[in-house]
Amino acid sequence: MKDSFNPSIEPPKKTVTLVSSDGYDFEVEEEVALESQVIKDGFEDKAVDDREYLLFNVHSDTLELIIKYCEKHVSSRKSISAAAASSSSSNGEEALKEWDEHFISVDTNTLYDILMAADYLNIKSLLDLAIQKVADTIHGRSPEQIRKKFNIENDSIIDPWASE
Amino acid sequence: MESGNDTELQKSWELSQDDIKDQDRISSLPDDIMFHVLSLLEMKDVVKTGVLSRRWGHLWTNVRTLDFRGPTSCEEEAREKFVSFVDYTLLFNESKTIKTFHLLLGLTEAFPEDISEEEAKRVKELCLHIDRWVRLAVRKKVEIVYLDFFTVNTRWRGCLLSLYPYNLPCSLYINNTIKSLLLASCSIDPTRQLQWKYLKVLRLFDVKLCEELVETILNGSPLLESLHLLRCNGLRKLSIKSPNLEYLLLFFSVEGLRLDIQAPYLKVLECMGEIANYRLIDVSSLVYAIVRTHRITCNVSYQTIVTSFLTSVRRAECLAVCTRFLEMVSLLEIESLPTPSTDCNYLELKANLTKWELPGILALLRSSSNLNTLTIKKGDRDGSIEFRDEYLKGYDLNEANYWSIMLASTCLMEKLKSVIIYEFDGGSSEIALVEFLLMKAPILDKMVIYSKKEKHSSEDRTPSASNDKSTLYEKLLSFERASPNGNFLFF
Repeated sequence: MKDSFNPSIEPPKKTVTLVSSDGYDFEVEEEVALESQVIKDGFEDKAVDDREYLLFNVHSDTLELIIKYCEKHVSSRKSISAAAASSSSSNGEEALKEWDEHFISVDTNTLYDILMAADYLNIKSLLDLAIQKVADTIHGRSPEQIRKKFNIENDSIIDPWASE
Repeated sequence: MESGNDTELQKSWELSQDDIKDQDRISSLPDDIMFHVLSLLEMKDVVKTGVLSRRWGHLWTNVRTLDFRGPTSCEEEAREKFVSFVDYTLLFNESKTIKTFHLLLGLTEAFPEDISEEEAKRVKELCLHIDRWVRLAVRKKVEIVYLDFFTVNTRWRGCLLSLYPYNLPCSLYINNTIKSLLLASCSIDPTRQLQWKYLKVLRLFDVKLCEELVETILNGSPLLESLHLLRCNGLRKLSIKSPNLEYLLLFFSVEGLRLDIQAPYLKVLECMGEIANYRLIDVSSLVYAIVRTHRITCNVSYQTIVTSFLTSVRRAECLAVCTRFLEMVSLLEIESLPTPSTDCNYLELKANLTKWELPGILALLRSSSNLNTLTIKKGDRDGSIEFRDEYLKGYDLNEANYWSIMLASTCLMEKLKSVIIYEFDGGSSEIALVEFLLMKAPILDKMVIYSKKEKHSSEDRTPSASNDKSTLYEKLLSFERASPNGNFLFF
């Protein structure tokens, strides 16, 4: 785990402000915001007093969820790496997996919002989680069931696999 | 009636919310995300999405992950249907390059002695189809190939012989795109030239091997980093000279088989199956040794097996052992036989802390004088090895008292800095071990205990359960410690 060598004496928490598309401010700890690769990439270039990010594509409802996810992952990574630097799998990770599963059990609209936000902010683990959720929804269901689940309107002219 | 923009605005907003509610938003995801979704599904599901709507119609023909899973029975009709399904899917696929080709299929359920001529012919035809599919995948510069003719076939699961291995097609012998290859119940011709220029991971399961073939494979795959050999018969000697190959997983379970291993550059070795099968002649660069054996024959030679194994891996920094192995070490201890010393600084035990394991744990702690981190995970569940009556009296010990008696022993973990225990459920044997470790480790810096996961019916979590937890925590905290300043974390 790459964060396992962080010094244990932590400097005072720095925060950044994330502004949602509908104009709400969210003040979060720096390391939470840095879960987003997009924020991380441009982070060093930004002046310390200008740590405000306008997230035009992320609604406050979604941003709240995203922040919740990142906070959970940052804190649990800390406790896991504190526990075992060299151990590959652990209880802590299992618990996190379970948390993830619960977190992503949302309706299709929210899932879509999370997907788009995770893609926009480039949060790989969250994107993977949401994508897996979409795949799980498709898996083993009939086309009609999938349409219903995702509200897909059948506008195709021919059905190439009609015989199936 | 209240006129005014507010109401109107509200109305339109509500309307748009409603719109969104019934909208198909998944379909408006960008293509790359859609393809990512499809890459996680087997082809049967992927093809199905082609009929959902126009938006989905073109996606399935452009996927770069092709995951085909054949019928679970080898019934003729199901097989034919599967063949035409794969044929059509491949025909429709427009990707210039593909990333993954998976094929999971049983060739036949008949045993060689009673296979009909007809069935033999069908198998042959089926193999020709597969050859064609593989050739196509290779032409599309496939990077990950899984050809598994074993898993699906339930009737074969019991026997470990390749009754009808699939002969590797010539298109696979010389390849410079594949990075990861899995072959299960396949047959590789050792006399053919073989070159897997970019192969990094090779997993062979139920593939007949000989020294010549392994040499050809290793020489032909200079970049190979990871090699898994599972239930591959015919091999007596494994000699790995490539410095790139760092990870080796072995699973040979046939009794009486002996495999000599010479791998001076190997970093990680994972041994499964019958541990008596492996003779580690040279694993001098080993960093991590993992023993996950499901069976150890408890006979007269167990001492030699355990002792020679531990001696061979003594230089490894990390050692992870399973319950069975611990039981064998216990036996050494009970018999007052010496446990070879190891250099390891990280020790991971899969243990249930029963009396069959405790002496072994003590022995390993004593023999690992460099131990820095100790991890204890829940043990494997299968029953313990059969103990002969003559050993039984040695096990006349009490799990809860064992450690307090052993406090007088010389086992001093002078370098032990952290202990992590998973799935701690507060049993007396566990508590006794914690107490022992706290008293015997003078520079212990961190003790982390994860309590056993509570089932997730959050409302159900009675206050008494959390009370129990805090009582337990307090009890653990009250123990005398050799290192008073250490941190104690309890989750």
